[in-house]
Amino acid sequence: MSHKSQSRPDGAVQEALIERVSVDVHPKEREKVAQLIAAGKSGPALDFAKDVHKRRRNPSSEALLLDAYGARLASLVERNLDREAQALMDLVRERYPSSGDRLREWQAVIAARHGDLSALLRPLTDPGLPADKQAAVAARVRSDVLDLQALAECRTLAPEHPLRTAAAALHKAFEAVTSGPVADEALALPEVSRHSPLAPWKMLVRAIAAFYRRDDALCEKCLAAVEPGSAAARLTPALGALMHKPLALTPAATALVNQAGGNLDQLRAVLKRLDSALIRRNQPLILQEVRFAVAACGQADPGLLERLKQHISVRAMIAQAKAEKVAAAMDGPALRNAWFWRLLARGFEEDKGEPMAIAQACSAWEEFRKHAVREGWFPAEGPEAATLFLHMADLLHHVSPPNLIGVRVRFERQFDGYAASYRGQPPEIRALMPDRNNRHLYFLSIQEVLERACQADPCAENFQRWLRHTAEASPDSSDLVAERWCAALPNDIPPLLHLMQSAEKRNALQKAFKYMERAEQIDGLNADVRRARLRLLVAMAVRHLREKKPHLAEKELRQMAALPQAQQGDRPAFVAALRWVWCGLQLWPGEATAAHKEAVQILGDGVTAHLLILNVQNWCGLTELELGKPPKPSVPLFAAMGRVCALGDDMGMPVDLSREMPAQLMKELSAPKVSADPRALAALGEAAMRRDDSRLAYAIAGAGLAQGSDNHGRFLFLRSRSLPPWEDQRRSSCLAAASELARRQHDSDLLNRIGEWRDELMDWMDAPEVAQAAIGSEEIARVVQYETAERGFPESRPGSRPGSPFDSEDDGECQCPECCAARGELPDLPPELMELVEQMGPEAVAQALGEMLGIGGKKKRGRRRPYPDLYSDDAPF
Amino acid sequence: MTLDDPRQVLGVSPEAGDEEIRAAYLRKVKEYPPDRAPREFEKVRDAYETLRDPRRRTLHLLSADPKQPLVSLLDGRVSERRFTGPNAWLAVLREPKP
Repeated sequence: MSHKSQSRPDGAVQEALIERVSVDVHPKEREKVAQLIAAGKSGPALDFAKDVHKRRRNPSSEALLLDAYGARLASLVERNLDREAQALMDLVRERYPSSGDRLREWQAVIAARHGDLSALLRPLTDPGLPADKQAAVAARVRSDVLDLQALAECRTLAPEHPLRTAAAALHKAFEAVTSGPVADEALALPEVSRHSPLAPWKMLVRAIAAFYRRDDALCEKCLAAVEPGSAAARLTPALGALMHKPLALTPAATALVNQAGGNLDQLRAVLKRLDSALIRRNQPLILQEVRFAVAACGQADPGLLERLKQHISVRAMIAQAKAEKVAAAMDGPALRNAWFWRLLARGFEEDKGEPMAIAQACSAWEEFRKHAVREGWFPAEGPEAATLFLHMADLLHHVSPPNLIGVRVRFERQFDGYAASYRGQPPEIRALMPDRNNRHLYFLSIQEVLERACQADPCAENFQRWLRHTAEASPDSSDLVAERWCAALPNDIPPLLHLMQSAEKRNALQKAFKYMERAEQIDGLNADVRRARLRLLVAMAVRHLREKKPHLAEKELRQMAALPQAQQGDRPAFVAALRWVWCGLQLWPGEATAAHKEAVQILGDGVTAHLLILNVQNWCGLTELELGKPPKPSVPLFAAMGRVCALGDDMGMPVDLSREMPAQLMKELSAPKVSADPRALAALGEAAMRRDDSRLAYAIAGAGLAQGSDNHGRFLFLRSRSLPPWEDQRRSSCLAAASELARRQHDSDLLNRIGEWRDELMDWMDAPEVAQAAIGSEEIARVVQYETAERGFPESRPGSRPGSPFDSEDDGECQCPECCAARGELPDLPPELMELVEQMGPEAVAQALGEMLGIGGKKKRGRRRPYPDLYSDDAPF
Repeated sequence: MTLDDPRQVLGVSPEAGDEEIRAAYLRKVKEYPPDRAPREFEKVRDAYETLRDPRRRTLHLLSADPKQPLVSLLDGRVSERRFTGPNAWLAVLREPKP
């Protein structure tokens, strides 16, 4: 047994004893025990110390053994094994009575761990406590006091004791930094000095504050200042992990990291797996990964959870997973707010080939609109809402008009107001649920959608689009749209011009003139308006002359002569020709001769003037007037006639070629070198197309291409239209080159004409958009060179080309609609169209086709394909 | 910045209006001045140009990719730092050692 326990030595004696004792234990043994303790191996350290004491049996070995017991006890306390620790202390007390001081100290530590600090702190109440004892208590406070509140409220110390005031300040600051943002002043903590045993807490509090401020550098700096081994240092691994350091964590630390920071890497891995399952469309795997993803997101980033569920819902719909099962796997359906409906609508759009999917997309966009307005994404009226309506109109253009009617009927029958989707949603979302009994499916009508776009954002572009659609789909209603445009934007010229032209077509020239005058009041210098005035005056004069009312025509002729725009180019010759007719009606041969001479003088040759007067005479229906013999030809017929055609087009009086002319024109144009005014040639080409004379148009296009590069685009377009049906490759090349040239020359008129013609062609042929790809200069040059060189009209069909819609498999007969009709046969219809015939009947299809071809007064615009097979499924979410 | 979504570039929500977008743009310009971060500034400016026009802004909204990989939802997302109160922290302190 120890001799040391019998009498407590004072300082000098103790030092002597320690010196003696240290001799009694081999330094290597002492070192080994210390190493084992430092390594946390208190068990082996105790066993080894027991072995040393057993061999040596001296006070020194007993002290070493008590050190090992102390470490063991500390280890048990650390692991909350209080009962085992108590049993060990009892054993030590019994075997080693000299260990009284140490036992008291251990007891105090255990109590301190449980919040009772009185035993630990009691020595500090002794004013004469030696410095080393104070240091020992301070060390214990530093390493073992985990409860700042208990320290702050410990009655063993005086209220003003520095430890209590420091602990109180730290406790308050700790609660603050873990509960919300704090000001810098709250982190100053002047109560806690650098030398205080609670200084590590001060650094910890600052580190936490820096972490929440996302100042990771400062956080790490503060953490580095937290003394290792201190109680506060227990939080450093968790804080390090929160800043994405790969550290091993205890369960509580892991929970803290998940609560305070979340682990996005883990969530990322889970989402990748779910993405993969969705791509593979493996439903069981999808459901399993959905569960994992939702759980991981809830832990790592709860703020993202709702959005993730919305994306999962739509992705699962695209992957054709069962909606209810997915909702169950997500632990409830996704929130049906604007974000969801937007995704859903886009999901439906993925299947644009299915008319029913288009309808569902439009319906989902309508739901999106309502929710977006409620959630403040954009106001109910305005450019944003209008853009959405226009987008719906774009979608609806993917469905052919006859199919759209069927889709609407079917959708109306199936539509249940998204009852299943709105089930279980919050009241504010359910409030926007469509009323099943009062549903208005405006979103399935292009007309209504465009109307709403104009209401939401009454701008010229929107009205232009509405007017264009109405003019094509329902021409009789187009004036109403133009009126609405005028009412909304009174200073816009285009609706007035439309109304004017519409009245002109109805021969309501006075009304047309009034519209023109209104347009003049708005912008008298507008080129379209100026041209319109001249054209209207011509039309009115021609009508009066046709009605043999020269006194009425006189007024228009006078007005025309006074117009500056009537003095430009060949226009005075046209006015002179009109005057010739007027003089003829008045039976004033002298004045008529003067007008004739004037026309000859302006045009520069008698042939052109003669042809012009003949045509004007024809328009006026006064063929009985004697013009006299035609003069000797001084210019080729194509030049003279082309000039007259150009002038006629300019004045709104398109020229019709007589039956005899094409032969002469073909003869002239077949000459090796033809020199002519391109504008006149182009007008002549249009006259040939109006006459359906493809051969003449083909020859004119060839002659035009030889005139120079400025008009290549225009003549390539003419050539493409003049080609026979089986020359689809050449037509595509010509169109592509013409488009590109028009684009480069900023010829919007030509571009529009090409677009419209191509739309019609595509609609009928259901052809791929091969001609829409931009082509380079070399390719354009090659096309121009080829077409210029190909002077002869392709009379016979070359060998069969696979994929051509005009190929015939058996007899080599042309299958184009025209040739089929000529043979009394039906053309080969695409399978979809055949199915449509079966569903809707041949009459309905014939009517639809008639409309598509412009026969029935209705014409659709844009690329539309017939989709007879309607989408059969409801919106699954 | 590596994000192409103008809203993400400016850090605004889909429902952000003109004023909010402009404020976000000015904030980002301060963060990425053209003389110091020209590439980032260009992205910020392009994003603002897209979002300042209500029509273009809406068109962009309407072009959301429904097949967008779910993992891309985490793009540009930093781990949230949530205030938990002191208990979660104290639990680590009181946790017995293994």
